[in-house]
Amino acid sequence: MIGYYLFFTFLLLSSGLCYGQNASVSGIVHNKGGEGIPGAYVKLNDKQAAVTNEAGRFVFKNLKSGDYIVTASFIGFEAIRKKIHLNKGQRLTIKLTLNEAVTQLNEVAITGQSAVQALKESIASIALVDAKPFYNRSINATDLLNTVSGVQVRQSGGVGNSTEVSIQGLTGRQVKLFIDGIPMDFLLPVEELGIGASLAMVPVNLMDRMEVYKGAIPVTLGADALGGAINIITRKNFEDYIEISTEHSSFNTWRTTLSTRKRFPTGLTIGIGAFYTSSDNNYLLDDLRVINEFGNPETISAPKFHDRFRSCLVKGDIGFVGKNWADRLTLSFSYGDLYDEIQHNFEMRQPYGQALNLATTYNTALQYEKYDISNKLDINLYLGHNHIRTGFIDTTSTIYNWKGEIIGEKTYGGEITTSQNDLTLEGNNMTGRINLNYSVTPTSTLIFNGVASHFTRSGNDPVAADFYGEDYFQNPVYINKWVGGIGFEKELFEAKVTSHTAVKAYHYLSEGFIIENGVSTTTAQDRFQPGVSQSFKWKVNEYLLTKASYEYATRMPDRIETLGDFSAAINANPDLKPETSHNVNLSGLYKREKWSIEAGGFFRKVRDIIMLQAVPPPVLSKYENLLKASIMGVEGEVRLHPWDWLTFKANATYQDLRNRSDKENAGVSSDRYYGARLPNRPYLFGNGEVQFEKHSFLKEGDQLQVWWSAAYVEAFFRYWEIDGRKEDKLTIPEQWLHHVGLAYTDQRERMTLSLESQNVFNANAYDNFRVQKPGRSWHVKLRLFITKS
Amino acid sequence: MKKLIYYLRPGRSLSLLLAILTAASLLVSSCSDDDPDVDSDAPIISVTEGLFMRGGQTEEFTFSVIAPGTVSKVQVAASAGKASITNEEELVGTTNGLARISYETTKDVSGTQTVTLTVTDQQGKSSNEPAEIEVFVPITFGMAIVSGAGDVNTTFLQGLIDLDITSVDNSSSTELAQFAAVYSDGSSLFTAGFGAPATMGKYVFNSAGEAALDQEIIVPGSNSFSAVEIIDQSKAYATVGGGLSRAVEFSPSEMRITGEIDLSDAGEGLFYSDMIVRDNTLFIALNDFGTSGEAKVAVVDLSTNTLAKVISDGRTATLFGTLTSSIMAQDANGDIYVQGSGLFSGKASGILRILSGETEFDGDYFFDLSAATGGSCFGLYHFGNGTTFTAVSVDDNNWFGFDGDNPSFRYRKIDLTARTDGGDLAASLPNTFAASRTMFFTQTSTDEVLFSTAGKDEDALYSYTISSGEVSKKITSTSGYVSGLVPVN
Repeated sequence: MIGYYLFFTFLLLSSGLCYGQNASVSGIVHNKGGEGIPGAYVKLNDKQAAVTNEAGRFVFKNLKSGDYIVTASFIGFEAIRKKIHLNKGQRLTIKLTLNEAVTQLNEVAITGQSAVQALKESIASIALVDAKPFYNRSINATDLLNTVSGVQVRQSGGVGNSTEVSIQGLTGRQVKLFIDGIPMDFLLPVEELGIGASLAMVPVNLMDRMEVYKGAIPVTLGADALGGAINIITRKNFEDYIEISTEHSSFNTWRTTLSTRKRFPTGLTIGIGAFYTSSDNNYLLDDLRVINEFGNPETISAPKFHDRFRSCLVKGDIGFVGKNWADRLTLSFSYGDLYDEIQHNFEMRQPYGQALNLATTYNTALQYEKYDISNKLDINLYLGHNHIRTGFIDTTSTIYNWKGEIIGEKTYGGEITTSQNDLTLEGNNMTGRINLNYSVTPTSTLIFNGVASHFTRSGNDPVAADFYGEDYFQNPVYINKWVGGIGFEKELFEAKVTSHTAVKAYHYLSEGFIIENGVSTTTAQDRFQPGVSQSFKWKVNEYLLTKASYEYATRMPDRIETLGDFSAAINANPDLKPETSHNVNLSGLYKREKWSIEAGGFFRKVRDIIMLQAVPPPVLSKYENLLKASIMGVEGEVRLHPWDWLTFKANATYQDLRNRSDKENAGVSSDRYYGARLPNRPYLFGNGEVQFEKHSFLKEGDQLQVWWSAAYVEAFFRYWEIDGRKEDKLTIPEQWLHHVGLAYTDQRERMTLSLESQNVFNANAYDNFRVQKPGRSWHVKLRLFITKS
Repeated sequence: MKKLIYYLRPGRSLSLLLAILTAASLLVSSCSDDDPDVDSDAPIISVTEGLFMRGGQTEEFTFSVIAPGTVSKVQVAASAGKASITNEEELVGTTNGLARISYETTKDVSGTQTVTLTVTDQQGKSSNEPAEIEVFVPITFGMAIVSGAGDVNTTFLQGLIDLDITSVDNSSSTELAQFAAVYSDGSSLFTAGFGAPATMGKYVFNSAGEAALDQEIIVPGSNSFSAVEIIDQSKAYATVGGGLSRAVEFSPSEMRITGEIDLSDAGEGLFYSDMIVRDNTLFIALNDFGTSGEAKVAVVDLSTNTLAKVISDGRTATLFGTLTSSIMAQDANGDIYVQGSGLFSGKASGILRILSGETEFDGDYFFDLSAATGGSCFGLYHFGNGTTFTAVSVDDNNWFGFDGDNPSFRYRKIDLTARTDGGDLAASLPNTFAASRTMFFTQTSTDEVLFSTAGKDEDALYSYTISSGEVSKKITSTSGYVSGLVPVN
């Protein structure tokens, strides 16, 4: 391990010595009032492009001396061109003033694509999903994630149900989710209710994009992500606008969003975003078993009867942008609420009729950004307080069958737990983040990121206390986390090659309680773990971009794993070691005007994977470090845009997940499973989409979009492939799901009406443990978008 | 010409009727099909459908033969095994009759086999007719192996012809969707799975020897079956754990619930660890995980299927048992012994006794296992004449096997009468994960008891010879630990 540190320290230092005397041009794109325009598209000689940051600033580095033409454009403004001349080593700063145009809404798409493309061509191993083209569609965050190569989202049902995200084979807690760079579990009840319910609280129409980091995780994302990270960037339109969308679909599903922003000449900006989602999730389930008077099962089909989901969120922010003392200073507030009925156990064998989860979140955050301080330093500060209240209600002893009929009463206990629960947990989290970017030279940048958080939680459950004789949930739990990272990015060989070296450090201090023989005692864990990464980007020529990265990644045991979860009969295990992984990624992007092809390979070598060692309750289970695994995979994506009216894209991923544990790690008595494919994980999957666009369809300036998309997952075994008779092993079957839709946008681009059918062929759809997902559904969505122009 | 009365004799008349019917059907068939290959003058042979037998056995069946002339020659051939005609001499020279076939198979013959009878008449015309016989692999034992690594493992079922093997794997096993213990009514294999709702499966072995699900019993609202006691093919009892305080009576042959026993007066939150039937009384071990500090047994009157009472004893506590293990045993006198672990209670592991004819704990009897063996104990198996076993923990911190590298139980021989520790069952035996993976002892012959080990380096079945006390490795499992072995037929 010391060797790794020495190697990367050498890289860090040596790359800093490669100082180049190249010129650069930076500047700001602003309106006539002098306010910076974020998201403006800036091109240099039609060869290089950049997108302005939230202050309207841009920079092109590592330029040769000579004449250049800079162009800038943005929605609602007329494009501008400006000639400049650069001398050797000169750092030129320019201002580009855009005049407002009458209507140029078509540039929304152009600008959006450019921002995505700019990120895609950054050094990070990243896949991007631009949310804007999906604003017209009936799609949720998990569906959107599923379209990314190398990413698999597995759900146990419909809206808000249990969800697991996998990136290049690593899954569950190994993948971290962020919202605007802040770990999602600080903001939403990820640990309490899972990713599915939390992602349902982030509607696509309130997103700008999703950044999926597959290889080395940037230091700016301060978290212990072992196998990739997903950063959801929320929508921050800086023009005045109001957008309302409402969607109604099968299973009595409603999704409504509101997003608006007003920006005043003084730089004061006020924004409001809100959404409401509800669904009965009452889709038909097949192969259900109701029990006759003799105890024998009879197979029926029936709709879900207790899986309603509701969530809403209201978010507001107020602040200033484009001031001398701050490019952005905002104070934001949000309130969210969630109601989630639980229909069945994780294998869909036992129906429930009353158990449910509740959650309420309150978030307050102060964010400060200032760029180009002395043309050298960018500062980004965040300070937030989040309060998450979750409830788990399992207080009935009533027994239901799959028809929703009451068929009896339990003698004791709830539908799910032995004790019955009326559990309320109150969690408070203080988070501070500082992010600094320092331009050491025109071709090198030093990045520092630090995130510190303090989490406390306690709760009460009077019902469970009656059963156990003590309310264990009142025992407080606290966790202090500190994640720091320093990165050094350097452009070499006239910016053809970029190197990024980073070192990271994770510190975790937690205290909770452990139940032994019915007695609660305090337990604590104090862990420190380092991490390193090295990335390279090589722009071979105008069309070909290649990337390579390595990261020694770490995931610290999380709160439940190390401190247990008494409501789930999981005891603490303070001796857990962090999961670690050697992650290698290679990728290449060949991009021409009308088509592009991207291919990549990845390798993971993971050890000390934390798994639940389950024992029958009420004996408490424990998380243990069990398997080692290796993952090798390839993925590819093709995009075609041969004509303005046709877009085609398709991607496919093959990942080979193998157990690399000897018997000591695997909980078995032989090396039989060494090299065996890991069970219950998809290994071959892909997505494809064709979209037709017809402009001036009915009237001049209107637009019709028609699309067809398909998703494929190869069948995979539920248990180890090497066990049992091959002919009749339990499998999650092959799945082909098709979605079709059309959207009509009026000539002023203020209204879009879309119709969509998901799973149009009503195919059987399964995921975790063969839990059935919805069949064919119909969606209608209306979106109104009004801008100042 | 024979007299009419000859043809009206009972046997002959049946043959005549058959001949007429066969001839008529042949006529109709030949008219409709107009098949040029069918010779209406050739001998006619028929055989009953749905024949089956066990491999390794000899089965007899008959072909019906009608020859327009007389039978001059009969031959039989089998696709596998050996077939012979036992009444060839009787058949030759007659115009009709039954060809008696003796079909002998070896144990390795299975699946659909064909025995073909060829009959030639005096005119030299011949016919043949195949008889399809489903030959079942002669399974005598059903075995459950738990396979898997990490947090993904489940139970695999297979049938064994005999136990004269040195190793076993799961390559021909049926995969279940949950961990399950196995039981038998002497004929079929029954599984009690862990996981809600409580589900019991009845498995039969098909002709290929594969375990196939026949029928299930499910008790909604309960988390699992917790103990099963099969009396015979018509009566059995099972307790459910988690949520329902109930035992069910069911018919193994029909796989139907036939009655219920309400155990709610025994207390809430109990796990029913084991049970035993004596005369018309069902004794159910109650595990309260140490909360009462007592050992408790529910006494059920099977004549009314009602809970008669709960008996308790404070000398030990926590009647901890698992689906695959036993903590109750009955000796030849009818005395019942109940083993308490003492877990979570601070009490000693020990054995209590309920004397024959009594329904209370014997106040004069307590076998302090902790004192005798020096550790906490788990399980109780008794095979008469002082052949009694338990397992002693050498590391109470790893009772439930969280440390997968260090099994912590050793099998121990004990004497119930003398209340003494007989020491290690064999010093050469490895430590085993008794409480977290598997523990069972089963008598497979008058002088042999087989028991399972789940160890750090090997999973196996060992043999204990009752007469000599010798222990030897019997079968090594290369696919996981053996969680059950039951006789089936």
